[in-house]
Amino acid sequence: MLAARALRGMRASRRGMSTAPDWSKLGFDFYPTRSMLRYDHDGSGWNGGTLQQDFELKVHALSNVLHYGQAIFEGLKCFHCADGSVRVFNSGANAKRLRSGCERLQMPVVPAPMFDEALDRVIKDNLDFIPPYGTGGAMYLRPFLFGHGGKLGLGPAPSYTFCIVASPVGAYYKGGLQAIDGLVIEQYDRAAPRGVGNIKCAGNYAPDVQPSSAAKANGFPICLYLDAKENAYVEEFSTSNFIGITQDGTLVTPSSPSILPSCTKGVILQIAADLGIKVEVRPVPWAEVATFREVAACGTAVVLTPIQSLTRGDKVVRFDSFDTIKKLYDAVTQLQVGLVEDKHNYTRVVAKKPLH
Amino acid sequence: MRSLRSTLRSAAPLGRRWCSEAPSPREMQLLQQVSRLENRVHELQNALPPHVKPAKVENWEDLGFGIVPTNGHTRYTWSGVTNAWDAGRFISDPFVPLHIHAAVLHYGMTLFEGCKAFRCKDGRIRVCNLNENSARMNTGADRLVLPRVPVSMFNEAVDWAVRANAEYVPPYGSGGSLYIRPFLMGTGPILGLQPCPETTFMVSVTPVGNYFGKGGVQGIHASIMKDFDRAAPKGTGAVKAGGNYAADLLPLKQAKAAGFGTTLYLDCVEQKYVEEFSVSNFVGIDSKGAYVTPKTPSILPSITNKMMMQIAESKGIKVEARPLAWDEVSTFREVGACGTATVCVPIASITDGDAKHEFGKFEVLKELRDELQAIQYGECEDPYGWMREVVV
Ligand SMILES: Cc1ncc(COP(=O)(O)O)c(C=O)c1O
Ligand SMILES: Cc1ncc(COP(=O)(O)O)c(C=O)c1O
Repeated sequence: MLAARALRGMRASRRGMSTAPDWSKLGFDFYPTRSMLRYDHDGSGWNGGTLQQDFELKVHALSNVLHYGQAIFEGLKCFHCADGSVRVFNSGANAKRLRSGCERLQMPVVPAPMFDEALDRVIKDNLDFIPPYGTGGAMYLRPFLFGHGGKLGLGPAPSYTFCIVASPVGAYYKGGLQAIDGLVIEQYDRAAPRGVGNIKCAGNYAPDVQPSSAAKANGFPICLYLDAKENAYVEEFSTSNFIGITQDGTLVTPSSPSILPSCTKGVILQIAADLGIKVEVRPVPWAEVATFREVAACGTAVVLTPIQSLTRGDKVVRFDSFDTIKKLYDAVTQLQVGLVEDKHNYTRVVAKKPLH
Repeated sequence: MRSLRSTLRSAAPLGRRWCSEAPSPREMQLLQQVSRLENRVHELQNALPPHVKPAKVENWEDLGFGIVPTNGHTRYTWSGVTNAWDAGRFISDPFVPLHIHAAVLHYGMTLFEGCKAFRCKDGRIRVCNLNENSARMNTGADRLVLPRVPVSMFNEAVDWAVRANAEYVPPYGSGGSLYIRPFLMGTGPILGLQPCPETTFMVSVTPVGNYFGKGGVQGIHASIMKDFDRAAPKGTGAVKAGGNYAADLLPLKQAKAAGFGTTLYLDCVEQKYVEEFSVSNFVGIDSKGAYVTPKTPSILPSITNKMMMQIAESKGIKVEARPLAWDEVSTFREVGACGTATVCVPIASITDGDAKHEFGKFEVLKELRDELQAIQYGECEDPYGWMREVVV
């Protein structure tokens, strides 16, 4: 047990840390903060939730989350802004997506006011762990909900727990956008057409580790999935949605019942429309991708990642201009830290923290 | 003793270190030493499993398919740093401590198995066809990038859990058995999606009754779920990944609300071919008397089905494992759902929208099921070598 704990400790302490990290060294890893928040549902309703310093949960060995994948998560960020305020970005979209996932997996929903209150409590108790304005970092927030309690056959769980845990994360791009190479996955499907690809349930992710690891080993940092039915339409990247810009400057993004609706994409589409860019949400045949001028992956972790090539079998499609992507990236990241007017109320001020 | 203490002392600060620093060779050496000591402690613990006085099961006939508290479970941990499994422990606490970022909680990195131990006619306890469960779990482990569980360790973990819970194996004649649930899950903390640095393998057991209670076997009514898919053709339907099951909760609820006992899925591409029931394979006897079961890359290969096929062949029944069009099923004489929990239950009807197909008979499948159960309870020869005694 001791060795195991020491080994684990090298990755992450189980207890809350009380010292702020070295902001310049942050990546996208778990960094323990002061506290996390936990709510329990006993079958009749959610309790009031408690902030706890212990980053360990105890669940019954025969719990739904351990056997039947009854678990769902979200991911969003809060930022220390230019005016010294701390704002959470676009949380309404995450609350909505979590709700649809809970309904699909037969778990109790988290009402939007409770979701917001939970975010506020975690953020306020961990202010000193939010990367200061100017460092390019943010506080990543991970709400998650799962079913547990002893149960043998497949059915609803006796209890549910909803948690939010935070981690300060660094700027993804240290100097300007960097384009990466993508691989189209041929041997695996991400989701069935009438499956659960459109919700952020835990079980959608484990199957991607094998294709993603293999692709990385071959020099492709990102994987693109096609539809499971015909292998002819673009679905999405492993953990981000697909954005294409046509030769005439139209933004195109796939619609499909098995794609996870990216919250970042919602913002990007709105901003694009504001900038006078034409937006099309429709099925995107793989064959059309070669005609695109720009391609990018979008999601909370990076906002927009330019894709410079997509390889399918022995065919490589290249993209070498990223003007539109860059314009959208700048607009979103400026909005996140309060440098431009927030016309559509994507940000919500939660607290103040002095600027240095 | 002194060297043990000094080793522990020098290893202790490691727990407080920040993660991005890789262990130095010296630290690595220390950790390996500690890990070996741990294994020794576990060995001693193994020799003397803690004895908790069990709450006696009073009425074996009343057991259902639920949880009865037992003496405990076995637990093994694999570390990505040492790339090795520890020696395992027997733990009486039914709760598992998990790091808040444990991969199983966020990314569904988990696989389970289901098998059984039987109290046989001769009074001995035997497990059924564990090697198949072990192989299936390892296929799943490769797919989800979890470490494989060596078959010897799988067997040891099961035997240990069964032995330490021997008093919970329902008596011969009660129709019950000890349900065994091995599971493998990523317990290491990760934030981004990546292979998990720590994995836990556990075996829990619980006594279960005759699935059909005292009333005898009754047919189940199934409903085809056209609004839902179980698995993508190149997804994870063929492995026992946890995530395959949560997706079935809503369809199952809808089916039950409409008066059905289980769900039947068709293939997701054409919705034309039979896949399988919620948690059991589809088996049928066609109009010519052949044993037919669908075969696709997204069906979980049921071990019970495999055994039934072998028994059928030995009786000279033609066995066909092939794509099975839903249209063909209406001509079947018998249909059953097969899996560890129920062995093989008659499907009384399958409803597809407005069309309901009824299957009145359950004779050939019953004969095969009875023969498999006779082997499991040691009432007849085991010509296939499926059963293995767990010496208590
Ligand atoms: C499968 C998948 N697609 C897309 C996204 C992007 O969604 P969001 O913009 O809400 O982060 C995510 C999550 O990050 C994801 O897991
Ligand atoms: C989806 C599914 N199909 C079939 C089965 C039957 O498999 P087995 O006979 O190995 O128990 C199971 C497990 O019980 C299952 O979960």
